[in-house]
Amino acid sequence: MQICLRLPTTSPFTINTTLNSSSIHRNNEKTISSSLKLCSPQNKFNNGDRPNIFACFSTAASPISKSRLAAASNLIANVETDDQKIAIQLPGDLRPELIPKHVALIMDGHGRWAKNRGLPIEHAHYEGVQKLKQLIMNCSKFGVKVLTVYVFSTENWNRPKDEVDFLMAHYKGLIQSIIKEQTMGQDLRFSVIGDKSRLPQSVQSTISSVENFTRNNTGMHFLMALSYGGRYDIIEATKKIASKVEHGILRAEDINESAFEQQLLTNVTEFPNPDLLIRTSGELRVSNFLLWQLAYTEFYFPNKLFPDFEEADLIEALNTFRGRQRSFGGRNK
Amino acid sequence: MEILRATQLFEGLGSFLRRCLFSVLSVGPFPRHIAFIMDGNRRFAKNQNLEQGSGHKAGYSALMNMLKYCYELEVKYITIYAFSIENFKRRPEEVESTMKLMLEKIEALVEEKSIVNRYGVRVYFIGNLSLLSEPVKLAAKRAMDATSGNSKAVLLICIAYTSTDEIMHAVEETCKEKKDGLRVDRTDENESNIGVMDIEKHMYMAVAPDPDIIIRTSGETRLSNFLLWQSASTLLYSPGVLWPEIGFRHLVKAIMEYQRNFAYLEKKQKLC
Repeated sequence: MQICLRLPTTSPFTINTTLNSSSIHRNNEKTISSSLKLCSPQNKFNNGDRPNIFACFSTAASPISKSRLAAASNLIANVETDDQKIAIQLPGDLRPELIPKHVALIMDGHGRWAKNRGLPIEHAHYEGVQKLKQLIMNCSKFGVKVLTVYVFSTENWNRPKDEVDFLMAHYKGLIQSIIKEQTMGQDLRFSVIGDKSRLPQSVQSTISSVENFTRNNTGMHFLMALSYGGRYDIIEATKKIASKVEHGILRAEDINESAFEQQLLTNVTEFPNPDLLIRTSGELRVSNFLLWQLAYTEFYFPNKLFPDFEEADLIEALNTFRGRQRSFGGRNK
Repeated sequence: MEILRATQLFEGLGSFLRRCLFSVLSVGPFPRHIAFIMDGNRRFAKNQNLEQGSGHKAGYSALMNMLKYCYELEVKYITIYAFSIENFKRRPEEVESTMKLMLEKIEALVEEKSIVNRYGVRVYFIGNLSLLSEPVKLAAKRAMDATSGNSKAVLLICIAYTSTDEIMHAVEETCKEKKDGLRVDRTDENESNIGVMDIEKHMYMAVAPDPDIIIRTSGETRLSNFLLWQSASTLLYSPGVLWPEIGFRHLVKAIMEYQRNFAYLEKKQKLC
């Protein structure tokens, strides 16, 4: 027996489960303005006898908030059997426990995208922003806990002044629009990691007000790496540790890896080390991103240019991650 | 006798062809430093239905071949990830047999006809050597001393190594140095003026420039705590071939990939 409230969704990949008997409420096609599908992972692919419970909410203007989700879970809990688990439904063969907790992203390919189309670079950045917003929403939807995006590196300061000025204004607008559209609905927490002192004052104040505003949110933590470098991060951490050693708070012999990790800029988040790094446009390098933190990260280098990166490409990245065997230096049985 | 001569002729022909290919390749930018993560030994042994340790033995001969090709192509620095600190977590039998193999091979390195003497290679053992057993530690020191006069090329063997351990060691040394430095000269009371140079000079890998290419075999695309600091701009190449099956053509493909990316990277670095 199955109870199903199946509702329309915007993603073409979200409905593929097999139901072994007709569902009672299948014809209740409601458009509720929230965006989660819940289903039992165990019964998703086997046609067992146990009841299968689906409650689906379609994606419309504003995604579901945590409180509504909790309420919905309670409703479902009333009719579920003992060994049912409610989980976020994921497209294809993805399972919640195999979704990377921390995804890192290098958005490469804007220049080539613009050149291929004969358009000015600003168009590529605009298109890139749309794709980034979509990606943030999807990662949050799929249950990623931390998303770190490499927006501007310490090396990028060497670019021509007018390009840097354009980018700074662009990022300020980007931060404001992401926060306006995304944070509240998805309960996103926002942080910037990097050498903030080099950023223009207006960008710095936008950043600090947004960080404060979202500090207590409990959804996905979105980290924007702005004026960031992996080596800069390590050196800053070293300076903090050196200062502690100098003041006698710490002995040099007692410096260990976990003490050091606490001093890195990624200490603002619960899961500082990425599980998956995606770099678009086929460039096979890390370019001074999160160097320490990428020790055991799986790399995924699709050829697509970032302004062309769609939800399907993210799903493919997550599927590839799912297929990798991670042993962290030990041995898989 | 005939067979021996035929083999030598074949070897010579192979070497000649490789040198021809090298002259073609060297028209473009050439990597100075290639690093290898030799993944796939165990899978190879399993596929071929060999016993447990044979994968590593096959891996060792693949390594000797790759070193030969690299030195023929005049790649000056080669780094190999022989044993990670994390690998100590493996089954004790596997760790012990790997250590035994390493001791055997380290001793072979300093022999007369070994590849390092033929090509004038200086050997360094990179890592937290205090974690190794006494015999291996001593053999490593002997090998480093024996080859210290060589200067044509360099082989860096990462053993009992992880990049985070290397960085920690460099941080610790930098802090000690700064602390002592501050005792002598208290002009700067604000933040310690620590920079990239301070940390880099204390890295075990300070004896070589940053790698141009890191090749990890068996299709795995991760660094596994290898050269994290040094790989900031390195090309990460991961062919699907298992390590014992790697050959000259894979090396050529890696170099061509490097050359293909070089022009783009140079342009980007100018912009950066």
